[in-house]
Amino acid sequence: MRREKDTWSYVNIWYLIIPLAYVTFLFLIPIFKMIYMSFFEFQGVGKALGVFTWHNYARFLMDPYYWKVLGLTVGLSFLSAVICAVMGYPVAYHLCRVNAKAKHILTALSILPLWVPITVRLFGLMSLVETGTLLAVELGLVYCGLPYMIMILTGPIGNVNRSVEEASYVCGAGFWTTFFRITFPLTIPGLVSGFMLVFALNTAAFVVPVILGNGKIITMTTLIQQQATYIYDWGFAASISVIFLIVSMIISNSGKLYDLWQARKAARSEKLLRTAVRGEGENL
Amino acid sequence: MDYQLELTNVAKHYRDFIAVDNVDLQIKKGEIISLLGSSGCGKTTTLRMIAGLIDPTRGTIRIQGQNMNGVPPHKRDISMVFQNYALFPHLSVYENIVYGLKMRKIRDKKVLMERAREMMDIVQLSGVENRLPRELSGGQQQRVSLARAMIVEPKVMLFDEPLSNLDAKLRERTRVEIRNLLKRMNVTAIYVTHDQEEALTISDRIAVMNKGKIEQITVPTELYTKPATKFIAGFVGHANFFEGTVQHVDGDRILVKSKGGHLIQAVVPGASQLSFGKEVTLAIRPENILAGGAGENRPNLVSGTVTARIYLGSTVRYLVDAGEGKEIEIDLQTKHLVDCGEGDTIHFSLDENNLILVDR
Repeated sequence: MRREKDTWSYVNIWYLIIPLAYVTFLFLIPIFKMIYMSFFEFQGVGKALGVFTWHNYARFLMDPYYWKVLGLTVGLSFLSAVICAVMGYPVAYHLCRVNAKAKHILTALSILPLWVPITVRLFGLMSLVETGTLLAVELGLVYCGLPYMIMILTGPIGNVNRSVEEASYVCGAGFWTTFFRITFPLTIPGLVSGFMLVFALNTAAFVVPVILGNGKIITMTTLIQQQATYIYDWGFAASISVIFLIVSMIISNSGKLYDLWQARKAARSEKLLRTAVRGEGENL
Repeated sequence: MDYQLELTNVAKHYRDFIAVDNVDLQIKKGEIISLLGSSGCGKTTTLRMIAGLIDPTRGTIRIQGQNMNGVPPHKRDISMVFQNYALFPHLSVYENIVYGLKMRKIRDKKVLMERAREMMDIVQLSGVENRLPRELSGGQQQRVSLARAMIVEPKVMLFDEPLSNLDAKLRERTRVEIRNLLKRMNVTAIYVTHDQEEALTISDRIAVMNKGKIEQITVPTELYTKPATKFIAGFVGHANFFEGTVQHVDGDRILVKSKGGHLIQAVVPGASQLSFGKEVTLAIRPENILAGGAGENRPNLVSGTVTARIYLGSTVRYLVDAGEGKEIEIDLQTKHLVDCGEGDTIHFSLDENNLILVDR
């Protein structure tokens, strides 16, 4: 018993060290350095940081322009997630309803865009739409998010038991009634996670606003890049990053609220089930 | 004669595979018919064609005289109990039960509640109406699915092995309940099962299916005592077979020389149609073989070597090699036990009145 436990943890410690080191050096240290930097006056690249200040944050929070950039970023990606859900759902539905061979081919086709580097894909898109417009950026975001949405949705839609739909048919419900009363409600958890993924991915999109926004559509990511690499105000760039980080964390964790709610319902169910099974034993 | 459900020449082909082959079936109002057969015999396919979930390749299905070909499931006014219950996981027990009524445009809340309560009393589900299916035990879920199917008072109710997920005790009890319920509500039902005992208890008539065809339709008692084919004799209960050629025919009495060289007399109805030299198969149930009789002048006396002795509680089964190719099974009451072990020679006789002539 004891030996087993030793072996178990022994192996894990060694395996964990590599990713742990990776995360520490490449993620935690830079992010703390960035947070630290956001609270000090930036005096130039290679120079020591100046005095402690709230100025970097105040500058962002007091200026309606930056709020607009934040709102635009969140709005564009929210809308793109909605559009991806609406467009991806029927595709995923059909993917789950064709035979296995066709499913393999169609799945490959739907993720085909991911095989091509994003810049190449977007340059293709540039020949179709006028860059520098909201429409172009939104189109790009939907374009990038759709394969992910389809992939995520095929899981829960495929998990809907066909006999449950058949039960609905023989109960007297037609196709659409069955879809809206049975199939769709059962896939909502999947829809939520697909939505959250595309939403989160697209708030952090960088290449799309750069290429299709063409400098005219400024999102949070391009704003940070401007401040860091053109204006060389690393302090301000850092504070924007921190604000953006907090906003994205709130967004991507809001899906968890739904999960929590579901988990609480499941726990309640479990309790009731135990009493039900016990009751049955007594009846026998 | 008006039938509640009528299948004429119904067939289903999947490319080269014939799942269901020219099935004919007539069911009267209020009758319970089982489709009995091993897996892959086409019984579930037949049921799903009646439900409209699969289109037949050929033939017509009529419900109350109306041709159902091309009519989608939701317009057939039928209902179905599934093997895995197929309850709507996100809807409460109450919502599950009234689903079919709502689909039939019954909107009045009071009526819905009234009928749901009535139904839940019948299937003994009161008190759990607000629970989700996953909060119920297997037996309760099964009763919800039964209530959901029955509340709509369908023209035909279909059962697709509804009890196979329950444990043995509950299964035995539930099948009696289902039969009583169906009889009380005078519902026409088709019950698909691979469990012969279930079919024998629940149905008015049993249709045994094999390789996509119905081999025999008859009442439960006859199925056991008068199986029409070798398959049925072997599928419903146990049977021993003697294959041989007819030596002599005298009225209903025939004399058959078996492959193993035994001369067997049998009294079988319709024997007069047989003639000398015809190849026939005789079947006999293990419990209709009488042990002992060595040296006596009994008809159909056979001897063989015991290869195994299996204790089954109230009976003991002997497997005997009598040179007929397959071992012969003999069931003896434990209280009439003969003193015989493996390797010993056993004498037994076949009761001429209990030999059955079967098609191969």
